[in-house]
Amino acid sequence: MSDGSTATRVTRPELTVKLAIRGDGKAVLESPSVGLWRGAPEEGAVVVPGQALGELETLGVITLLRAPATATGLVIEVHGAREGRARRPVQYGDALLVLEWTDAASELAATAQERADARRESGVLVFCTPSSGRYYSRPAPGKAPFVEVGDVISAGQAVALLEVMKTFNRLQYGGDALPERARVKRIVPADASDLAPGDVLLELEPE
Amino acid sequence: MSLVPLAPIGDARERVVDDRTFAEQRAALAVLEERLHARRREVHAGWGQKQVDRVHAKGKLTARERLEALKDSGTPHYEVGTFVNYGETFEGGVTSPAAGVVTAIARVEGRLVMVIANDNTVASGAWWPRTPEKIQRAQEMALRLRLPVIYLVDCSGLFLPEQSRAFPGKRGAGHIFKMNSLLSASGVPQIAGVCGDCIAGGGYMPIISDRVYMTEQAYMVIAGKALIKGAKAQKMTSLDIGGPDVHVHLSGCADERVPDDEAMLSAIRLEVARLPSSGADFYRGGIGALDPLYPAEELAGLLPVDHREAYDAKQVLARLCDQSLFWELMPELGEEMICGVGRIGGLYAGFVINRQGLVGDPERPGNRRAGGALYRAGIAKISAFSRACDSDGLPLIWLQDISGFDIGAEAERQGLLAYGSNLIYTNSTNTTPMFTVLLRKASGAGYYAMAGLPYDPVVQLSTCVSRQSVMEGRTAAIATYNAKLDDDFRIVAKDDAERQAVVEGMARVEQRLEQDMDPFQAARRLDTDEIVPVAELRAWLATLVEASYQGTGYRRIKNPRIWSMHDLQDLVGQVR
Repeated sequence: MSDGSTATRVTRPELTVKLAIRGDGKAVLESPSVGLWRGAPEEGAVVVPGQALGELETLGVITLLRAPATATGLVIEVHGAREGRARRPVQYGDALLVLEWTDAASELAATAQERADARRESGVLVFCTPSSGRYYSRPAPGKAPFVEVGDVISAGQAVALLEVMKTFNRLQYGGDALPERARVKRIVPADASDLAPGDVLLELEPE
Repeated sequence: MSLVPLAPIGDARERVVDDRTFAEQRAALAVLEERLHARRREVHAGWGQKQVDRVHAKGKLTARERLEALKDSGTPHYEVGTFVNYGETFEGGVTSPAAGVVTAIARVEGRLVMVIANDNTVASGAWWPRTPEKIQRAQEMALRLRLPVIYLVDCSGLFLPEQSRAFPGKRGAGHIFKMNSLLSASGVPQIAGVCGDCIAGGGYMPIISDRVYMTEQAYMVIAGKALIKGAKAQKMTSLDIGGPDVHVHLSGCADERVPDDEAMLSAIRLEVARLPSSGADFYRGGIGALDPLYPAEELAGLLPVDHREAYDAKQVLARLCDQSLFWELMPELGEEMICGVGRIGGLYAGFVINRQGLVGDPERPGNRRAGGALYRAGIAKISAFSRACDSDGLPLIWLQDISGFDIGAEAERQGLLAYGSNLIYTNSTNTTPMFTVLLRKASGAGYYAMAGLPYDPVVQLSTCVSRQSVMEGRTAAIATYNAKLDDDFRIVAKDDAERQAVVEGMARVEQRLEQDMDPFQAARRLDTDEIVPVAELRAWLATLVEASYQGTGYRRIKNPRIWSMHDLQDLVGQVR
C-alpha cells in the first residue's frame, strides 16, 4: 500500500484522524491523540481517503496518521502553520487540517473510491491475504479448520494459516472496510494453494 | 530522574490471539512443561527416599532441606544446572541426578546469594563427570555479579570409577579452587558450612572461604581413613583425623564449630546479615516492582510450540516489563529486531528480541521478508544498542528466536559477515551483565551473535521449545549428503540399493539432529543453564536483573540523565 512515505516498515503504528463537519460545511480533520505532530501537509495539498497525514510523536512513540475513509478535499488551513515548527504540539480533538471540497479533489476521491471498490468483488464483502504465500485452512493437519462456511467471525479471530518463507502466520480477520462481525459465505482458495498478495480468502456477508 | 520515555506496549490477550488459538497453544506447551515439572521432581528426589532416610538417620539434613532452611522463608530460589547429567548413566549403571550438587540463586537476609550444596542423597555428594563444571559455572555467575557464595559441603570426593573424566582437564575438579581464589581476589564473600564428609578435593574448597563453619559431624581431610589405613597402616576415625577438634582448635582451618546443620545454617544467615545490604533499592529510585499490565502467565499461550509459526514479539516484551511499559529505540530501522529499555522488578534493563512473521524490506519497498533473522540494519541497530547498554551499565537481556543471518548474494554484497562480526566483537567485549533466553530457535551464527552461551552471558535460559542448532535437521541432511545430490537436491544414484542407503542416511541425520535439539540434551551437557516454564521467565529475569544491581562499586551504572541511549535516539533522526 502506498501512503506517500518512503517507510518500509510493515509494523508501523497507525491512527486514523477524526472527521467533523464545521458549521460552514467545511470538513475538519481532528487529532486522534495527544502528541507532537510532524510532517504536516501544506496548504493547497489534496487529501484523499487513506492518505498519510504526517506523524504524531507521543512519549517517543511515532504513530502514522491517516485520513479517514470519507475525507477528501483541498487543505485550506493547517494547525500551527504560522509558527512553522517541525513538531507541533496538538491535543486530542485539535483541528489539524481544514478541507474544502473541490472538483479536482472529487476526481481524486472517485479514483480512491474505485480502488477501494476493486477490493470488493461485485459488492460482496471480502477478506484478502496481505501477502503472497501458501494458504492452509487449518492450524495443523488433523486439526479442525479455522472457519467453515456459515460461521460468524469477529475481528481478531484467526481465519487462515499462511506459509511464507517456511514460517507460518495466522491471519486474523479485520480491516478498515470490514465490519466487526461477519458471516462466511465462501472460502475461496483451495487448501494448500498458492496465493498472490490481495487474493480473496473469504467472501463474507454482514451479520 | 531524566526522562526515560517509557510507553505502553502490547495489547490485551483477546486482541492478540483468539480464544481457540490461545487454548491450543497453551495446551501444546503444557504437555511439554508438565514433562519438565515431572523431570524436575525426578531430579529433586536424588537417589530416592532410602538415601534421604539414611541422611536423616545420621541426624543430618539433605542438601535440598539445607537450602530450604538457609533461604528467607517463603521466598523462591532459582536453581541452575538442574538437568546436568540428566538421563546419563555412569560406571556401574548408576545415574547422578543434578550431577550430585544443587546450585541455586537464593535470598538470604534479603540478599541474593549463590548456594552450592553437595547432594548427600546422591553417592554421598560425590563429584561426577561435569560436577566440577557445574560448580564452576555457578561460581562464574557469582563472580560476574559479585554474589556472595555459600558452600554447603558434604562430599565424599570424586566418583572414582569415572575419575579420568572429572580430574585432569582444564575444567577438572581442581579448577573449582582456582575459582575460589578468583572470587576471593575479586572481593566476593565466600562462606563455607562443612556439614559432613569433606575429603580430598572437597577439603580445599572450604578453606579459601572467608568464614568456615563445621558441624560436630563434619571432617575435612586431604585423605580419608581408608587411604590412611592403606598407606600408613593406622586405624583412625575420620573425625579423629580432621574433625572440628583438629581444624577449629588446632589447625585453624575452620573458624567455628556448631552442633548440627540447623545451628550451622542459622550461623551462616547471621554472617550474610553482616554483609552490605543490596544496592537494588537505591537504583530503583523509590519505584517498586510493578506487575505488567498484561500478565506474564499469558506467555504460555502466546508462544506457538511449532517453531515455524509466527507470533507478535512485542506481546512478549509487554508481559516481561513492569506495567507493560517500554522505550523502543530506533523502531524505524531494521524492524526485524526490537530493542529498547524497560523496567523489570523496578530496575532498568535493555531488551533485544527478534520480531517474527513478515517484516518490510528496505531495499524493496512494498515487499516483505521473513522476520526471525538478521539483516543489515537490524544487526547494526542491535550492535549500537548493545554498546549503549554497556556504556550505561544496563543489564542486557537477549530474547532469541532466530533462524540465523540472512544468506545469499545480497547478504554477501552488503557485508553481513562484517556487520555480524562487529556485533560479535561488541558482545564479546561488553562488561555489563548479559542474560540470554532461548525462546525457541537459536540457530546458526544468530545464536552466537545474539549472545548465546559461547558469548558468556551470565546466565542462559531455555524454554521447553528451545532449539539450539547450526541448522534444521532437513537442511543438515542435505548438507551432509550434498555430494550425492544434484543441484535440485535430488539423489543422483540410479541403483536402487544405493538410493535407499542415501534416503536412510538422510533420515538418520535428520532424526539425530531433531533429538539433539531437545533442550534437555543441551541442559545435560551444560550447553544451557536451565530450562524454565515460560510463565516463570519474568520472575527469573527480574531476579537476575536485581542481582546485577545488588553489588555497588564494581561496575559502571549510569543514572538515566546521562545515558548514551538518549544520544542514539537523537541520532536516528528524531527531532529534538
